[in-house]
Amino acid sequence: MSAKPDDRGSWMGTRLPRKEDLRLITGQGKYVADIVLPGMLHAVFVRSDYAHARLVNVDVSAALEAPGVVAVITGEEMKSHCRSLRQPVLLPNLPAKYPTYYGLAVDKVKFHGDPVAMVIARDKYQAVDAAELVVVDYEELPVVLDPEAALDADAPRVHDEEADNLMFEMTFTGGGTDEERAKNEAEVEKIFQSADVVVKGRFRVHRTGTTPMETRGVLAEWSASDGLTVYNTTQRPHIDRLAFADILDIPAEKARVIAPRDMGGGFGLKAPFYRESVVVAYACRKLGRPVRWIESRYESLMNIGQERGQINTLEVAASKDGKLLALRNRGIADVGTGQIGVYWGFVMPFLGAVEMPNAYTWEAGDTNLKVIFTNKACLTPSRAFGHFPTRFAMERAVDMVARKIGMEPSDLRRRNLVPRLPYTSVTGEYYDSGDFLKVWDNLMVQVDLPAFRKEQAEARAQGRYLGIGFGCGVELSGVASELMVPMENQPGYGAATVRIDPRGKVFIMGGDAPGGQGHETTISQIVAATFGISPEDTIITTGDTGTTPFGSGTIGARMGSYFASAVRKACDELREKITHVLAHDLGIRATMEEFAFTEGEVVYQRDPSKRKGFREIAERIVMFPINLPEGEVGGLETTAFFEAAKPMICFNADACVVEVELATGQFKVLRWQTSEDVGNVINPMIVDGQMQGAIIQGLSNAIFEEFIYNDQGQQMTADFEHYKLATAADVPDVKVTYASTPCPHTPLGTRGIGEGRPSAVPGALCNALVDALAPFDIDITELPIRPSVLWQKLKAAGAV
Amino acid sequence: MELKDQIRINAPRERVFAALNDPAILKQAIPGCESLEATSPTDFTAVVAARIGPLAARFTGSVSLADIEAPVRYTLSGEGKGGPAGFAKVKASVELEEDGAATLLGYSVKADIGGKLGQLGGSIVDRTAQKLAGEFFQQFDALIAAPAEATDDAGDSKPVVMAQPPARGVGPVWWGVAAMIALLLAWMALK
Amino acid sequence: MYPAIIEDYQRPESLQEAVAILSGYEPGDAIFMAGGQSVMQAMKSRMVRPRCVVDLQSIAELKGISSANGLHIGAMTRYVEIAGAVELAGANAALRDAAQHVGDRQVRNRGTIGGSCCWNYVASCMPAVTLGLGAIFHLLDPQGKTRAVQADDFFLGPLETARGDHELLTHLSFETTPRSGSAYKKWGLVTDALPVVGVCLKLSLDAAGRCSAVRMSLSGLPAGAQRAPAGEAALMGSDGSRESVARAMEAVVDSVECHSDKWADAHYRQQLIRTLGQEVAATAFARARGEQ
Repeated sequence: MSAKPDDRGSWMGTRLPRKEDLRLITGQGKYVADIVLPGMLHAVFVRSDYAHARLVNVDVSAALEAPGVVAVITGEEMKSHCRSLRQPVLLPNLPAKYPTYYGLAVDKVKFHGDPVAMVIARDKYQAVDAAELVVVDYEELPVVLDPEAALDADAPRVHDEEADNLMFEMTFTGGGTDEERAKNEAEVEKIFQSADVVVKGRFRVHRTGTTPMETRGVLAEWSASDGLTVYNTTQRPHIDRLAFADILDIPAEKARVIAPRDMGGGFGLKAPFYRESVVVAYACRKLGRPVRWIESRYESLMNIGQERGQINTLEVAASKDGKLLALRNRGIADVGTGQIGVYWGFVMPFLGAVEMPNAYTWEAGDTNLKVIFTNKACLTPSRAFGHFPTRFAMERAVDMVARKIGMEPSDLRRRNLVPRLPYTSVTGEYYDSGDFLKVWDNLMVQVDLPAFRKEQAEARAQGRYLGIGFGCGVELSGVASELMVPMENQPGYGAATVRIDPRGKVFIMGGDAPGGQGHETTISQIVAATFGISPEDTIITTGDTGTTPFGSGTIGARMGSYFASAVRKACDELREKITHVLAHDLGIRATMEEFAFTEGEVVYQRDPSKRKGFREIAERIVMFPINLPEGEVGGLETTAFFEAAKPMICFNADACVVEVELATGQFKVLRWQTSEDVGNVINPMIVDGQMQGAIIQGLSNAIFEEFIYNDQGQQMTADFEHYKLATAADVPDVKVTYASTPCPHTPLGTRGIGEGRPSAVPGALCNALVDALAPFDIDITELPIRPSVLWQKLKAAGAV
Repeated sequence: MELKDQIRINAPRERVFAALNDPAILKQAIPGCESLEATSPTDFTAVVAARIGPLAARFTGSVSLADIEAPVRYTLSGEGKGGPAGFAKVKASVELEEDGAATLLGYSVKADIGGKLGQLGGSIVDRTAQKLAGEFFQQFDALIAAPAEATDDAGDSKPVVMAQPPARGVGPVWWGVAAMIALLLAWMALK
Repeated sequence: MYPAIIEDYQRPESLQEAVAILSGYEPGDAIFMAGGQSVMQAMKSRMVRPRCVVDLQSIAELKGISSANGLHIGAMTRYVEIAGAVELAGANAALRDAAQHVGDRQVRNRGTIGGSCCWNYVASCMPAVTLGLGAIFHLLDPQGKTRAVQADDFFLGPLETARGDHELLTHLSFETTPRSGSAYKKWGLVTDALPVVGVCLKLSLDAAGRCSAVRMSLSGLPAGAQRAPAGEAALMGSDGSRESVARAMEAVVDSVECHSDKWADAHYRQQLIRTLGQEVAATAFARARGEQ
């Protein structure tokens, strides 16, 4: 590590090159596929080619005879030997239909890709060969694919045991009773009736999501003495462990989950608890040998990574001087089968509905969401968890209001941003702290709107079409227990164990498993700054339920908000003890604040001759714990928990400039500028990377990526020729600037960042396109947005 | 995907109809057909092995006939299974119209391709379907068309196949066209 | 996914050895592998299941670009080499246009012109460009006999070429006519993706600067690489004016079948034919005039 701490002598705020990178880029990373256990077998799934069919027969006899095959597991076996995945630990705390399901399909297959059998063989090639020999008899059933049509009385039912395809419905405004909600609905209607301006749009967002570089993988090992150990590409090992124990009926102390040290991206899609994990774990116990499954890219694109997929019919009422008055939204989410543990496909649209009001003040709101089953893969969480579609709708609607009253969209936004926090939105979301106006004004300084309008006018005179578009987003910064418990039956606190060893090295253990966000580096900087040591002398271990404190997972930007805070708390406890002992050893009375931890030493500020090396004092306390002050015992290790009293947020604003070529509808993003309130920044390089990555992900989702099912329910986008990702040549440079307000509720003033970040992107992009083509009065209410679509609109408007 | 076409077969309608009855003709007309077997009066299976360029596949097709109105029209539905490669489902209707001494054979086919082939084959599948349908009909036409100089001597005039009775004593079966279309489409689905 | 069992892998060092190995197998049971950018994917998805893979990368005679006796490009010449070959100018410059934009850097380092043409994937660029340039394909059979096949006769439809199962494509040859220029441009949703549509144009000019010979081809349409004879006829005698090119591209639009898919509908493809046509025409004329 060649970077130095900043001028204040602190590692905080330093662009430290990441500790992870050297091993990752020299092939020394240890991913699940790098782990080899003696006697390990390889598993491959046989999956349904039909979107909806009765499973008449699964004949594995030929597969069992194939070379190298050790076993073939079917749904019947899973059903009779394990519990279902419908377990309390995997159920949200929300009133929805939760149809029972098992590790493999039983009776019916419900989507193209539904796993029907698992073949286990001595090598992976033999497993694939044998999988081809499994003969499945299907009796096709009619498919239901359109979420609105799925609500018809005569629509085919995805789940036989459920009365219909409506999985979940909720109104997020008005109150807890039907009467209160009806009253609110009427009041909102009154506002709409009397408002100067009303806009309405049916905003449809396609199925798209995330595609981490590393697909899923599960390696499970069983022994009579130690029970089950699962190496799992999971963001949530502690939750997974409970699920394994409950489903496989293992005593909780005999189940251990280890998220491998390195994971190639998660972005939410490694947060659910998956069926495949159960089947692999079951198999290793049955066979008494380790079993490993590595998901192919084809499987991954078929079965997971699909999110967004909503239709939001949104209306906004406003006054003619640009005051937003009320919003009214009817949301429809198509969650596929809904059968993936923890989130069941719908917790995302749930949160998306909650986030609809965004960062604006509203007098009233009326939002309702219906979540619907179809014969498609279940939605899995993706960065911007559920609010990518609702934010697209809101940011477009705000622009539509601005256009109608002839006001600059940026002025309209500023007029309506929540001016003072804390604030509670009309859907009950609590915004704890921050200064939205400061963030916005910083953005506008970067943008220089008057100069752009001049540039735009000149370009138009030359027949070139430039446009500018704005968007903003309030995001969750971690998820407090106050929200996590009612939503997901899971806690929100952060937890960290910190241990200082006799050589002055500091070990940090955390239960949340990162997927490449650079947690090792960020945490090392916090610890180094706190103890005045080098980041190289810190070691972070994450994701092993056997050795780390309970954490509910790397989700919802919990690192910068919860985990980092817990680390700081634990470090402060140890600093307290170190200074207590040192003062005692020095024969002085002094508080912790009177000591500085700097450059490897602990120094008494009033008399700097009184000092001790950090390593020396650590050794003294851990190895030679005699003559300690009263009440102290030896050792330097503690576990700390952090929870904010109320949920916390972060906030960001985007501006993008585009150019559109009329003859082809092709467009280019010329520049993308952002303004961020991310609280105090520990490593600006990592935060910059998060922001840039999120913008690029949002653009790729909005323009290029789309999961498509044809009219037979066949998923047609299972390779990267068909599911297109943006390349480096397709995305703009993203200029990230900061206008932060330290968070008053975390010890370091940090906020969790990066998770929700893509959601403001599609609105900003489409706003820019509409602005560019303002002379032709075209509208964009659907994604993906592509040149062919834009060109059709231009043709329809008579522009070409 | 959908295919619709009308082919002129150089033989009278009755002969075309009878030839469509005849598994032997069909087996010859379908490139790569290894076997054709009846499993009931209106159902049968076939095994076809074929190639397009570097891609080769072998699959089992099964077909059922319905709505038979001899010698004018019928419908068929079928499925070809290509194992791990995927499957194809076919629904077709066939209509024969007299055109002097020849016959206009009109067919309308709807095929759904599923599994890997549908995903990876995509645009190639449609193209190949048309091509193979064309090849089939060309061969079928060659097998049963009247010779250029018609002769009164019945013994010299016709391709042998005409005279063969339907296999296994199963009445007039229309699996001919049904089979070949279904199988062709299932075949090309595997490309 | 993982390929089906491959019984044998050979890496011959001579042309004779290569064709000899293949002739020992039934058609389709042994395949040549050039850059592997199509074949390896097909093997991994098991759409292709060869018993033997014959890797051509060690055969020296298959490599390289030579201008000694007319322009010859070895079948194993990689895209990256073609992209950087400044001698491919004028009449054959379209080869560089195409090679510079296939796939991505990694694909360009491995993929070959011969592999691309023999695989003849429906949307590929190289088949369309070699067709547009009127390349001649040189094939060698196990008996040592060679034959030369015109591009128009080589490409038979998506995934099918005139190459026999046991024949090896050794090289392509091109005319280097004076006062000629060619160009290729495609559009795909992401940069350098397989084309939604691509237009290739090669033309020669007479003394008055008017088109005296022209070949035009298209990529990205369901028929695969195809000529556009209506456009060719319309461009004869043209001086490259926007109006004459527009007329020619309109003739192309009227004569070809464009399809709709998730990337673009048929009308948009038609519009791309018009706009890409203008761009390649401007470049081809400029190259023919020696301006570029």
